[in-house]
Amino acid sequence: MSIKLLDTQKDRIVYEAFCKKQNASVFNSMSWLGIYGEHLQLYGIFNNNDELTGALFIFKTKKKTFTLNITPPFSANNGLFFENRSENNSNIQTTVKHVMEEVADFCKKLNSDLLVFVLPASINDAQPFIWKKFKVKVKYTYHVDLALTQDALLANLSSEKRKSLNKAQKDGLEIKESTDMKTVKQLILKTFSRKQVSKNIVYLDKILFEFANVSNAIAFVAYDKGEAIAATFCVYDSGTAYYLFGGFDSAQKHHGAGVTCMWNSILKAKELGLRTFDFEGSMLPEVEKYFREFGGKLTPYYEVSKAKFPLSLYYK
Amino acid sequence: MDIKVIDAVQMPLYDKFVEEYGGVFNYSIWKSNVHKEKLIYYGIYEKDGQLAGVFHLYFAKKFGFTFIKNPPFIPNIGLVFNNRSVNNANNLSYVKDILEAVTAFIGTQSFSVLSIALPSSIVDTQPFFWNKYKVVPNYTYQHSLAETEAEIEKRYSVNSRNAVKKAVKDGVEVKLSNDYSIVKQMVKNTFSRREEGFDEALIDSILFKLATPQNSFAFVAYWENKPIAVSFCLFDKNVTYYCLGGYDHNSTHRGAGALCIHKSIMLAKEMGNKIFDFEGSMIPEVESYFRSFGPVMLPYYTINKAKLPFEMILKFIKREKF
Repeated sequence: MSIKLLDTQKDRIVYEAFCKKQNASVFNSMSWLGIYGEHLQLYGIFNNNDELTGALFIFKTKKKTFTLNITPPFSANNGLFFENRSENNSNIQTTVKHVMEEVADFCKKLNSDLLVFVLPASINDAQPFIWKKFKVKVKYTYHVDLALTQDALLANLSSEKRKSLNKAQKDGLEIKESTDMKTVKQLILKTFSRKQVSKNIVYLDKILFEFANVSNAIAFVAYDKGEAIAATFCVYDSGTAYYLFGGFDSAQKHHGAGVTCMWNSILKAKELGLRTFDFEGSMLPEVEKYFREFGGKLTPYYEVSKAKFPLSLYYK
Repeated sequence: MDIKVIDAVQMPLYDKFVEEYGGVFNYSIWKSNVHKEKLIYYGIYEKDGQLAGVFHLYFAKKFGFTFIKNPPFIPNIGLVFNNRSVNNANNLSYVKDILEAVTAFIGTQSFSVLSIALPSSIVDTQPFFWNKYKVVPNYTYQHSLAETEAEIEKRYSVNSRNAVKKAVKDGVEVKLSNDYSIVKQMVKNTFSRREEGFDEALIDSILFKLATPQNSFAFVAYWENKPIAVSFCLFDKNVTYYCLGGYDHNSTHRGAGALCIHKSIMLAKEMGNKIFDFEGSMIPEVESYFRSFGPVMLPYYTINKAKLPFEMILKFIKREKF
């Protein structure tokens, strides 16, 4: 097994065919990866016959004199996926172990001042990283199972969320699916902290105005007396919708506006035939509680990191 | 929620609670027969005073410093609780409330180093993370015993299947044994060969005071009339845990240990257990051995915190945890 840098032009067809075959996530699509330009390093995992059997990506950047290899901004993870041809359970796990060992070795060889690599929630074997002295942090997201009926989804909500939905309806808020990304952006910016804005505005613009289209994104906007007061924005692939951004106008805050946008996003994802609605991380206590009340399943995923001195003092 | 030490008066209530919601590692015989006063049981009480959950902590002293850890041979802090919520969101919030209460309580304890594990059934470690504990995944392997024997065997790697077959073909005889002195001897040999510390008093108390036919079984593999490998398991109404294993280095047969484990899995199934748990596998060679039986890899979470200057030292020697 080996891991090699892919040429996004030359290897594009092979890579895209492989992604399609494996139902890779939206974050692995070339249109998503394209937003990161030259910072993006796409790697292929090859078997001993030099066939492409997996992939991952790294966002490479420099800060002062430090080399950082990290998860791309707004990507849920580092896009690790691979083909597992084994049928017997023991062999399936052994293949996973071998791939993870290879990825851990690869990460070590990148020689970063700081490496942060997020595994998809579907991969729970972080043992090779622990054995190689990486730090492995447990993080969480909430997943809503869209196989449930709409009534069951509603029943899973907390009473507060149901009340918010009712209030929005009672107060005559209008919730519309939207392709007007300018309005969505304005509302997002009202919620983003200044620090987040300055850091990520370039990628926010690229996601909203270059990447998003009706076949890969869902946005809902809540209007109160014709004025946009809250919005949600999700991206999706063949199986999952990922909630990426939300925003509201704090000057015209309505309890049910954001909740109703989110609820409509969940229903839209269900209508599209998707299996899962992913809240895409919830480690901040107030955000966690907000997401928890939608009654999804708390789902752990792992963030692997390694930092050299002096960054190791800051990145805990 | 309120957390209090369970004293002798409340012990019957504790026993009743763990009989319903807990497992073999919650049983109070661990305290009375094995760990004594180092193991302390705690009750989590609702506002109305009802017992809603329990857990335990093990306090060890070294050079005047206090270490809180999992009790030896108990995989975690035995946190179990009765979650009556029906609605999904409330269910999650109840778990969060329990874990917030446990985190706050642990924060009030005086310790130099804390390193404990949560049962694999508990996924939510956020309250620990928010309170600056280091949370690190560890792993165990579990077999679902709902499948048929043939299906379970089909999950084994070819090597494990062949090792079991070869042992049978070579006439290795595996017997269910009540003679735990054989288990002790074999385990002792294995520990000393690996140059690991063998706490004889502790093993004695587990094998001869705690273990009964109602909560344990052992298989001994004989070859040419000599015992050459053993497996020792503890069980409750749902799960069988593989606790100890050993083999005779001088007359080892490649398949004897595997055959003992195979027999243990099949007996657990026959007894009506739902799960066979290999009980941790973080040592690479042990992990690959367990993996070869084809179980499912299951994470559980360890919670770690050390006070200065221990934290600085542990950052170097136990970097993956601190």
